[in-house]
Amino acid sequence: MRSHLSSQNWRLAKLSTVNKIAGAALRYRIMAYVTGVVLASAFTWMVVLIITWMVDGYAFADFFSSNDQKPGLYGALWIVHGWAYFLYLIVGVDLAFRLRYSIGRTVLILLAGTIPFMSFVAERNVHKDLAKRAEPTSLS
Amino acid sequence: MLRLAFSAKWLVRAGLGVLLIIGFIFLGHWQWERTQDVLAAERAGLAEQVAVDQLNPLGQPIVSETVGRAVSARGQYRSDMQRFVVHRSLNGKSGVWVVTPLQLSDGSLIAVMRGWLPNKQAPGAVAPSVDVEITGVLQADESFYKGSPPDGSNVAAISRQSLQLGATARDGFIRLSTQTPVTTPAPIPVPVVAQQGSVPFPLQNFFYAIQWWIFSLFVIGVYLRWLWLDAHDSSHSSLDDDAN
Repeated sequence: MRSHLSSQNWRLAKLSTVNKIAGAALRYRIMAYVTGVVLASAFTWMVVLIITWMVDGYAFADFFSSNDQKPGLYGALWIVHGWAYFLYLIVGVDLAFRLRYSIGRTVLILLAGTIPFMSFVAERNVHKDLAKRAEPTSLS
Repeated sequence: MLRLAFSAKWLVRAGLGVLLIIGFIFLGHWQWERTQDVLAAERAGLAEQVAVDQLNPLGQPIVSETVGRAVSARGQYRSDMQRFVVHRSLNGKSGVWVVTPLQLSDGSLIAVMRGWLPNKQAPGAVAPSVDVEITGVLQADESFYKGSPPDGSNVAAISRQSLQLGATARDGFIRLSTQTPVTTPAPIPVPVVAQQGSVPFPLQNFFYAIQWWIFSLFVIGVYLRWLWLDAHDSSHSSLDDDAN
């Protein structure tokens, strides 16, 4: 299919592909940071709450079995993370498809949004990879 | 694309996708059950009977979460402070409500709306003089005609001001359901019209349930997109594996 394109059209097509990847990478970067910050906040807060509960004489499991006595904003953070992660999945899959990542790498990137602080690592990994691809040798 | 979908590799991927979808549907169902369980536990907590002095501390205004809660109390009726709320009908018959403060063991008072009588002279009006244990529903002061003073033994509404119970009275009143020992004749208990306080909805579990179900749709989307890419990439296979 590409052979039918004139050399000028081919260059344009390549340029738009690069732009689309840049856009997808930006969307992924935003969602990786949003998801990561929300998850890190909720997780840190959870650790603090569990420690306070255990200092007060509750068992570790009580924190998860009890449904009340938690701050409203704390619960809201987890809800925000749930929906942010949903967007993270969409932009993550989109980017992985555009970069033709293997299924294993894609799954790792997607799971990174559920593990505290790991979405930052995944995002760094992806952007290193993109920087490497942007070098003239790999583009031509 | 259809031929590719039925290749061995893509049939395996479709199978894995179906397994994922089934798993996600179950996980969503689990969170849905959890939502229901939390609601049931919260409602059961509300329905549980609590001693009135635990729910309604002396000297503090009644809070809206405790209105409608089932309460119990033990003490002695103060017949000398009994009042009749006039112009209250039951099943279309006009009459009065009998309000007798109950003195708890700590000396504090709580107004008890014992029930309906056709008139003030009806035999049930006299409160028992023995120690009683009562159960009922906690209610806030009636806000209308709240401050109007009693006219003899008549009051227009139930409130601490109108009943003139003083500083030792707890806020609100108990709408009587049962009394032990049972005394006859007695006023007819008036069914509760006030609704029970609402319980917080477990939004987090509810959204997790929905998200798991959305994820199963997401699996279908990813499968189709991947299949489409595979079908279109295979016409120029150079892109397929160079990223790995």
